Amino acid sequence: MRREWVVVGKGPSGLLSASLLLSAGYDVTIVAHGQGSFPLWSGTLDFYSVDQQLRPVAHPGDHRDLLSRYLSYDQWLSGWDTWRQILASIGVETQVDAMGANLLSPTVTGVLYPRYVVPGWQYACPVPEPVTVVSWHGIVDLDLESWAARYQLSSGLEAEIRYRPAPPSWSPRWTALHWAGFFDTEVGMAWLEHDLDEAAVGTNAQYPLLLPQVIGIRGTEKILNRLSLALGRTVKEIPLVAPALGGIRIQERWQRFLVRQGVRLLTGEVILVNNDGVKLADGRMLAGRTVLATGGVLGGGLRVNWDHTVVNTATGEAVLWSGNPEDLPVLSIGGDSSSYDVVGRSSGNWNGDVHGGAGQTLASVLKWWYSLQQEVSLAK
Amino acid sequence: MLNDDACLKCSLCIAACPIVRVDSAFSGPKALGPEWWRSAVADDLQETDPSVDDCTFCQLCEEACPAQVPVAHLIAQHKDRHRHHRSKVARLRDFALAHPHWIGRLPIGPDKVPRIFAKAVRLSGNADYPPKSPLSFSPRPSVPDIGLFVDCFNRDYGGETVQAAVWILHQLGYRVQLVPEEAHCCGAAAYASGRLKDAKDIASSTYDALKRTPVSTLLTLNATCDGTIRDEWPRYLGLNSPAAVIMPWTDWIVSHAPQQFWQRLSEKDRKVLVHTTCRGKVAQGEGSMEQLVALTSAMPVPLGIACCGAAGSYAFKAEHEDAAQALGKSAKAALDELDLVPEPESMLVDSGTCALHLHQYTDVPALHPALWLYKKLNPG
Ligand SMILES: Cc1cc2nc3c(=O)[nH]c(=O)nc-3n(C[C@H](O)[C@H](O)[C@H](O)COP(=O)(O)OP(=O)(O)OC[C@H]3O[C@@H](n4cnc5c(N)ncnc54)[C@H](O)[C@@H]3O)c2cc1C
Ligand code: SF4
Ligand code: SF4
Repeated sequence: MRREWVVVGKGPSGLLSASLLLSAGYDVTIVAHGQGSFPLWSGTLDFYSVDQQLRPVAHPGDHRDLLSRYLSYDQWLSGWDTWRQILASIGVETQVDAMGANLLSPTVTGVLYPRYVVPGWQYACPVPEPVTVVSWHGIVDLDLESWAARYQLSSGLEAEIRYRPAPPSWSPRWTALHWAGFFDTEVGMAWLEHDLDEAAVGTNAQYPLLLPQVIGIRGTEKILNRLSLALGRTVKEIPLVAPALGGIRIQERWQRFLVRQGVRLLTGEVILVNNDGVKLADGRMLAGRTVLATGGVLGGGLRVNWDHTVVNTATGEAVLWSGNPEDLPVLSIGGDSSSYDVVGRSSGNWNGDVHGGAGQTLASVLKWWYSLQQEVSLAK
Repeated sequence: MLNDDACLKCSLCIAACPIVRVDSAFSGPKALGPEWWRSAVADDLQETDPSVDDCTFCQLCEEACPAQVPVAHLIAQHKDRHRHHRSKVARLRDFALAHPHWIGRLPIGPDKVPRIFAKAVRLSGNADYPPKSPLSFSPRPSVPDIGLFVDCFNRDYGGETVQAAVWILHQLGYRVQLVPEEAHCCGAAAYASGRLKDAKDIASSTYDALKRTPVSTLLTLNATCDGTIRDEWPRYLGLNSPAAVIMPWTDWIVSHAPQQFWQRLSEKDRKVLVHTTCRGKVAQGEGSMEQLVALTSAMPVPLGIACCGAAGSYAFKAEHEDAAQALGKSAKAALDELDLVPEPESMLVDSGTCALHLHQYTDVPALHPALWLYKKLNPG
């Protein structure tokens, strides 16, 4: 088995493949010509967390029939554990015993939803509980009234809400990143601490206090701990839409970790893949066995040009498309080719939107990884 | 350009922008690039956003975009339009800074400019300015194997670095020609400040100068010049590629120096900080300086930040003091987070202005990998 690997793509499936290869001692180069989908993702993975009637599933094992289409139950068990260990190694602590008891955590719209693994900054609970949510005018993506209504509907419990004025430096152009950057500064932190002191007055101190997911980028855990201590109650975040800080934090810590471990993180567009490795548009050649983690529609694997032509970004081939979004072809560049492996959104027939949730990214990488290990042991 | 109008509004560019996190008045790449372009160019509205000048032109937004929108280059067009709304003094100063190869010809270095004059022309009072260290030699082989591109900074302030880079290439048996023969600039400084016509003129005259001493392999010392000449000249400035191979000096050494060369060095137990500049990440990616350090048996430690805040002459402008300082402080915070024992003796960075800036904020001497390697091979 060759020691050198080239991972194409730096979205969740690319970094996951790279981490697994690294842990087995391979020499890994990642190459991508765009950011992966991390900033579109709040940081939790779910997979068939609801049944076909859209009722939450209390225990993942209840879905063995659906789950086993992808991996065996035992593989799932160790897979979630691998995912937690990887997150821990890059400095993201998680809250759950993955397959034991499913924790509940609210979605962007306030619906309590079962999750397998939840990063430490995000609010999650084993059984529903009443909560207090504080947000600021100017965080347009969070409509507290409707959030609270949905929370009540899905949990049967109260969500107290408090709207606060935005900080003095706020402008209508602020995105979640501006907020997070502000809270990462001393001035922002002091403002936040003072503001929450006032916001908490008259709320039920027994309830956890929840904030929109904008509490810093690098300093999140430190800030949340400091606030919890100051207020004497749990302070956590609830997810927002993109750009989502949860995914951004994971992406940055993960990339930093991989580069520190000696992984090369190259920028370039792959135009050719063969048994020797890949060729980039700028002429560079990278040697190694290749795994394509090039994403799906919009995520990079297919590029929709301004003139509505669609190109397979990994091979440069034009893809025929009627122009009707409904008819977008399913990308399946893996095919029966022996020269490269395919994981993540780019593997044919995998679509998180219809196949049970974002956990499909994890499942497809693990599936590839387990078969690779089998290949290695057979070769021995 | 092809993908000017391809924005999907996914916000990945905002997530990648270092300025959004430290400058609350900055509207961010999506608003300043594709959204502005659609209203200004496509719909012919003349509005500009004054915060556009706070963009460093690091291009990290553009690197992130899944739709290949030339985000930073649209922002440069926006800057060009906005230029006419700015004060005369600012315009005059920007005109001068857009021609760094002229400034280099002045008898005194920018570090010796009296503060009172600097203040009058709106130069930052916070920034460290480079002392003069001009080139004092110029090898002239009859048939060169390699052309070493002497950029505007290194010609006047990085003489030692150029000398070190040539010395090492000589050790490896290459015949090196310094090109171009007279002071020139790739045009990056002008482009970054939105002086697109100046950028074109400056780049064209450099192209002509390079054609007078043609080489097939052109090695660059600074990633900004590297990306500008290889990728931007053909794409945005209508120039052909001036050499068959254009690549960073560091990448060349890592891939061409034989085992015996590295065996002369044994830097075991030493930790060496490495910072790949923002433009380096965009042009080539991360990892080759780390490889170079590892080949000497020392341990490379990537600093783990996106952009240090120097951004060529960005930090020299008074109106950018706060943003440049905030990013400089983030670099220091990243270093503290690493908690290195013993403290690292040096930091490798291929840009002279970033080296100055990083040294100013972290106190760790920062230098080009060529100079570091030269010093290791010639102790004392
Ligand atoms: C705007 C937008 C919205 C989305 N919304 C959703 C959603 O709501 N739900 C959902 O499930 N999914 C959504 N996705 C898709 C999301 O990308 C996937 O669900 C999933 O996260 C894919 O992860 P991945 O690692 O497989 O691929 P991605 O995260 O897409 O990563 C692909 C990587 O491959 C790189 N790449 C591709 N081609 C090449 C090439 N030729 N050379 C070099 N590098 C290349 C890309 O630059 C990128 O780094 C969205 C994507 C976008 C862009
Ligand atoms: S990353 Fe590209 S597609 Fe996404 S919002 Fe920015 S410019 Fe638009
Ligand atoms: S070029 Fe850099 S500073 Fe400018 S908008 Fe893009 S990411 Fe931000």
